[in-house]
Amino acid sequence: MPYTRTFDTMQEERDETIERVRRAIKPLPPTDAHAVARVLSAVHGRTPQPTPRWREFLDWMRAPSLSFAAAGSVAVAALFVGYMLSGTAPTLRGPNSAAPAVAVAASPAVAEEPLPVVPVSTALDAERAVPVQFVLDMPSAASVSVVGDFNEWAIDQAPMQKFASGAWSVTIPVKPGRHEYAFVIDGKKWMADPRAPRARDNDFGKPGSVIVVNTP
Amino acid sequence: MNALLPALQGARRGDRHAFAALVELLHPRAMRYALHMVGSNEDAEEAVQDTFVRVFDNLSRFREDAAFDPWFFRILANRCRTLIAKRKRRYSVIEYGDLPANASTAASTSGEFAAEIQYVLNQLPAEQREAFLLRHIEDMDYEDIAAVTGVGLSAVRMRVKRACDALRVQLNAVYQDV
Repeated sequence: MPYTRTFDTMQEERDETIERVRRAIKPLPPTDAHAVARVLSAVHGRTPQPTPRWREFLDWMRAPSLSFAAAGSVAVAALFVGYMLSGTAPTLRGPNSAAPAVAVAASPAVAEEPLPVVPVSTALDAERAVPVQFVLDMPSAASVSVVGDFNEWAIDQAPMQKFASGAWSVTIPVKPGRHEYAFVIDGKKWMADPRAPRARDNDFGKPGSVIVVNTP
Repeated sequence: MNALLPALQGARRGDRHAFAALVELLHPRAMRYALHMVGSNEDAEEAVQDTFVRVFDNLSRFREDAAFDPWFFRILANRCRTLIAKRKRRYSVIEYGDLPANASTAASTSGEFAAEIQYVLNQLPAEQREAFLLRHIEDMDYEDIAAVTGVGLSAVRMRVKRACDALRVQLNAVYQDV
């Protein structure tokens, strides 16, 4: 007996109560750009599993068929397959770029250019530090930097990049643990991160925030 | 899936911009499912983040001509089950953002109703909650749910039915006049 999908009607299962439940909880939550940024930071530096050779072969086989005019290249293709299966071919997946190009796409409501992950500095121990992306919405600022106990509160250590949306972003390596930080607007105004827990106090008597970086 | 396909194809080839686009497209759906499964924003985000890391690591092994949703939700459902087993949370308030100060009575009522739904969902066995969400919120057919959960069609149907029955009984008892 051939396999067929069950095209039973969902409508039969959905009475008024279930429909009310759907209306109440089906709407999607708004895109959290910071959560998306954290996802992209989490994959930053990771190397995906290489495509198995058998998968590469199957993908190639599923490519659009050659036209009759190209029939002569079938022999070349056969030679290529043999070359791939011989184990001497270089991987089709090139080495990961040392310069990350991970984009953090903005919220759909804003429809802006993506926020790339800026290459990290090497000032901290790269073996333990975790890339952390800091984002601040401040269209009116001329410059924004992030300062914290991870960069000795130096204003010039982590300047942020501005994007068309007016958001500022930088990714820097931060060691696992609890850290305090703040944004410095236009070189002089300190500001806590509106999306992070507030630091109770810091040695500078200025507003600050707390971030806890987990061990990768 | 149509909007997803270019991002998926690019991400499979190692294009990190494409992967970022894939994350942005899927993140709200993933959060919606995870929020209702694990019951807290913090846990949901952890499950979703873990899922995307696993997707990133294994995307090259995903068959481009296969259905993406069951594969993605299988990973996400596994992460949620792991978190539930680990944390054993019973009930948490879901935050979908604060209602504005001048929210209407209808909006407040719907917010309460959503909270009540989540309370009832949290009382269900995790497998029934999972089956209900996949069927009636993610609109998956039974075959895909079976692929996600790893159980047979009959078991999936029974789980969905029991979840629906429980929701009807609990919600109709509370909101007879709504």
